[in-house]
Amino acid sequence: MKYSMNWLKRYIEFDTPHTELFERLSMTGSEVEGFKEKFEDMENVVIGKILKIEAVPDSDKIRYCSVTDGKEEYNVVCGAPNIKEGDVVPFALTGARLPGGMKIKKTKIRGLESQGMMCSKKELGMGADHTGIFILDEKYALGSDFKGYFNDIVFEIEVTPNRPDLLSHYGLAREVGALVRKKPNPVPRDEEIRGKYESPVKVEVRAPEACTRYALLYVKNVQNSPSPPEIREALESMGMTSKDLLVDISNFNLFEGGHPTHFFDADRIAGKIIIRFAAENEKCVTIDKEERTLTVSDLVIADEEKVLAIAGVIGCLGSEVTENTVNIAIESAVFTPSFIRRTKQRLGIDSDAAYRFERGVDPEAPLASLGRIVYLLKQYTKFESLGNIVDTLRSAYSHPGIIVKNETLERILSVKLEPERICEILSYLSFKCEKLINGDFRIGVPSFRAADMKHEYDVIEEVGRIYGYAQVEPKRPYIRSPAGLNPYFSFKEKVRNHFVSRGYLETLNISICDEDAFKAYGYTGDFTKVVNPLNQNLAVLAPSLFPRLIGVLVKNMKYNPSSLKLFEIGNVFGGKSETEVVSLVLYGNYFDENWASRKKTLECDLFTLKGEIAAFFDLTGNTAEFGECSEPFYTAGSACSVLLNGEKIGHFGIIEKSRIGSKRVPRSVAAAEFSLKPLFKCEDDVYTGYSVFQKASRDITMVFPAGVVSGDIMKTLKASAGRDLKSAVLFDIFEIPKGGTALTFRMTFQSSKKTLSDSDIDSAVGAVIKKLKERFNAELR
Amino acid sequence: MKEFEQYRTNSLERIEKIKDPKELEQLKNEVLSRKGRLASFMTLLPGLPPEEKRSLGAALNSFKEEFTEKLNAKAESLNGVSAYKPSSVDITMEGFPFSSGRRHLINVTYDKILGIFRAIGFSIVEGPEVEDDHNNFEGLNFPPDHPARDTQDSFFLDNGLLLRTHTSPVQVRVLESSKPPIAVVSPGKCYRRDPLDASHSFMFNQTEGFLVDENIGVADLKGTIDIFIGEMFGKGIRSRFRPHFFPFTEPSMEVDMECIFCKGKGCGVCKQSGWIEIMGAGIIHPSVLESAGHDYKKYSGFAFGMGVERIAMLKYRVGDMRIFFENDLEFLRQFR
Ligand SMILES: [Zn+2]
Repeated sequence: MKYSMNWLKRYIEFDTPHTELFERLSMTGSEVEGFKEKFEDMENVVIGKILKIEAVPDSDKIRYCSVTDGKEEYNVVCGAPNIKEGDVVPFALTGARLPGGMKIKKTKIRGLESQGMMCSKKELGMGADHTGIFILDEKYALGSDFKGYFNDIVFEIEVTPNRPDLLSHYGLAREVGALVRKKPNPVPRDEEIRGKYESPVKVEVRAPEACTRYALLYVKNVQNSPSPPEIREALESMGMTSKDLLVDISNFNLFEGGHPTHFFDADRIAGKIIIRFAAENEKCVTIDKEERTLTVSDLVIADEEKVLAIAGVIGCLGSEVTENTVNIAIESAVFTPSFIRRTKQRLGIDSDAAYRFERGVDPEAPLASLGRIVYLLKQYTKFESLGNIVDTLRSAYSHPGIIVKNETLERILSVKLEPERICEILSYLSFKCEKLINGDFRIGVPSFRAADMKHEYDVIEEVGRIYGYAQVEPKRPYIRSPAGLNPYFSFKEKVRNHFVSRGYLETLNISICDEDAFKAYGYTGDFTKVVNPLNQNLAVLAPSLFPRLIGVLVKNMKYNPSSLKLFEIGNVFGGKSETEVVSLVLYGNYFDENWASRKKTLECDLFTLKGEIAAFFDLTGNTAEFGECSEPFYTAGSACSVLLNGEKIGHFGIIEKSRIGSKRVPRSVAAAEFSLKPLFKCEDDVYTGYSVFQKASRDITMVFPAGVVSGDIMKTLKASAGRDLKSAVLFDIFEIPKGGTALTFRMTFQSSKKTLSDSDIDSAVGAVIKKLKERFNAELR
Repeated sequence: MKEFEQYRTNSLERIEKIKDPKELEQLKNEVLSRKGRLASFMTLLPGLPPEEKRSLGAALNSFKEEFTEKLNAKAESLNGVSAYKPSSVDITMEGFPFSSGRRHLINVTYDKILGIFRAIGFSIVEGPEVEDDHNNFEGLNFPPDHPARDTQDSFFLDNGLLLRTHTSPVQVRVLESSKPPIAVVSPGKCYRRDPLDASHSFMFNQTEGFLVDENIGVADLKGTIDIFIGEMFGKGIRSRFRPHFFPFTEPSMEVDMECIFCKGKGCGVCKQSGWIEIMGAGIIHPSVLESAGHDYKKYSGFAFGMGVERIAMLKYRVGDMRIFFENDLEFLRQFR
């Protein structure tokens, strides 16, 4: 909320410089977010007096004046009609600066030299009044700085939601009082309002759960008028424009005491006032001329025919005070915060009233507000009479009090405080503090803090924030619980480091994204959608990561990379599920290009990727199984699904070019994505021993007819080679012109019991050849 | 062949005898030039039978190498300087262009943050990004329809859940499933409905930390945070704990550290205040402990939460939060 220093000082005197005050407020929980001096950019405007006014020939507008600053006389040309000799005025000397950047120079007007300028309010940045010079009271000393009398500092405090009592100048005065150890002056008000007759406007509360108190005051034959300067200036410092006295008084009371009231034109109320919930689709036009459609949870103030106001949020057209208003009814109520908040949010209306009601107003405020308003009406205008106050209060404010255990206070704040110090802090904050025999305290809570003060800890915080946490000696904590290692988290770190050391760059993409970006890759349905997106292009949660990584690739094509390897670990979403995956995207060569790699740069093709994934699976202690893959975003025949124990956990392949949606990616893009959790193994590996006997390798080359796949051959080979086969790789492959494919397998044998003889190996290889001949109709080459 | 053998011995001997660099140059020309003796021997090769062709070819090659080497050695000794000697392998050439990858700066920052708290004795616990109202709000003492929710404007999902607005739901999960003493840090992505700008992002990273045990108070919180600031930003950097409000802590505070850019003197980054806000913290609200089934009269705890992007921006002097999510190669390659 914005505060005016001048306004604040109506209630509390202090001579702490403003910067120091702001620092202390910030350090006690009311962060001052910024401040501005009203006349920050004004210079050399002083109090002047008009000594003489002379007419200028041939002009009925311009006059020639002699103005003094108490020391010297200046000749000034002036066109304003409202001045007379002897007037005290704001006088901008030659060289002065005015708000808005205007500089005053010596000028000649119609051949007359003008040394300075008398200022209107508008020229001083004090409102829109430009009809004449701002005539000042004679009490101001001639030649003294104009700013000295009229300056103000407007500052903004981030009031936290637990402190609605601070949302007014008087509320802040109480808080400042606790800092400078002073009680603020009471606000002058008519303490007891005695009406002359029963209120002509009756009140019926049909929704007591949403309106806990409704007070109404009828004022007969009130004279509306423009507001006096002190009210106008106060409201202008809040950035408001003055309307008329009645509206202004309501606003003034709001910024002074924090309680929103509402003035109705009593003659436009049909019958009684009814506080009720709206009917479904009930309509009203609010004072901002918007038609609003209401629902059954919206609380309204209505008469017997129409809605007068959306309770605590905004008034409606049809009952507002106008210049023709004669009799008024002043609403001074307490509404239940949650109802006001729901309506305000649903309708998207941010009013000063709703802001306060949704945080909770002082339950004692209704009568205090009416007392203050009557006082102001008496001071600034005339009215005929008052009706008796209608007040629906059923029980007076009471708070059971809070017991604060000294032990808890010392434990939480980590300090020992004298009981007197505790009570002193609390009583400056308007709490009652009673020391109990056992060393604990009973705390009485003022009505304006009732909403926030529910628990012992609430009071402890009050003591702590005023005492100051700076005075608490830090202590190194002793942590009794053993630090759990979180093996899965460590596993992810291992995965991350694996890809980093293989030359991958880690990306970080935002999970909320554009549905179309995924539709381009053939994703349909089952998106987890955001109900209230920031915009329609950010409306789904990413169902996979690799399209985002390809997006990163496309964006970086401006660097024209010949090789790029990206990875990311993150969650993907679908329906209610959330799955952690690792995703890879490879582009161009596996290695960068230079003289040494020129002949070896591997194009990132399907088999580069397959090897990459097999190596990664090996790292995680899993054996990858690969299966057919029909994901629509891969080039047909150039993709595999990744299986673990028969279950699909991911896929990889060459991305179908048309899916990428950019012409700037000339070479093929390979991608992979799989779930991480299934790959994580809790158990540690166990040492299995190893053979000390010699290894021996043998190659066999056989010609297989078309249609036989190497995976099947390998399976048969492994199954028929006997238990001494250590490993087998497909070593070479070439087409036979007459038909068929020649495959060379290199088998490595090792026994754990002896050095294998040539004949041992020959018989194992022989068995393999025999089996492959039988099974695949293969021929030894 | 014999003729060659003779010539070979002869020319190698001649090198030894030469005392003048000019003579050496003459000899070099006589043997190695395009019309020299070696070339003329080469021209004989095609006419020879295969067997001889091979042996003479090999002999010629080895002679060329030996001769060149000796010639160069002699030239060096005559000139009295050690000239640049190109060996057959130029080790100055670049190696094979293996590249090292890079972790994202946010994960680099996470490693540092989590490393510090792990060293003090905190365990890492992660939680889901899609949460329910109970874990994200109610269990953390945010009543429904309370303005405190305004500061954490949520994205709601069509599955009835929401994207967590902070990592504090993990606090609820851990408190509901384990008994004090508890010391946990929880890293992860969070989401708030703030448009993207230099200091806001609708997705950001947070690290939550909390400790629940007997006799935990503000002093323990301050001690823990001071260790963190010292390890992360440098020993001796001052901190201050400014009262604030969060529904799930009471007392609540914001933690400022002395501005690392101006050493507290005041500069543009700290808006002349000399202080930089780095996290929110406080004593865990008794309602949070109570709703998770713990006796707040016996146990108390502290909690804190920091924005990882913010820490990274301060630590690595990144001026704009959007850079983290743009994934520009130049950025990705900068941090190790
Ligand atoms: Zn600074």
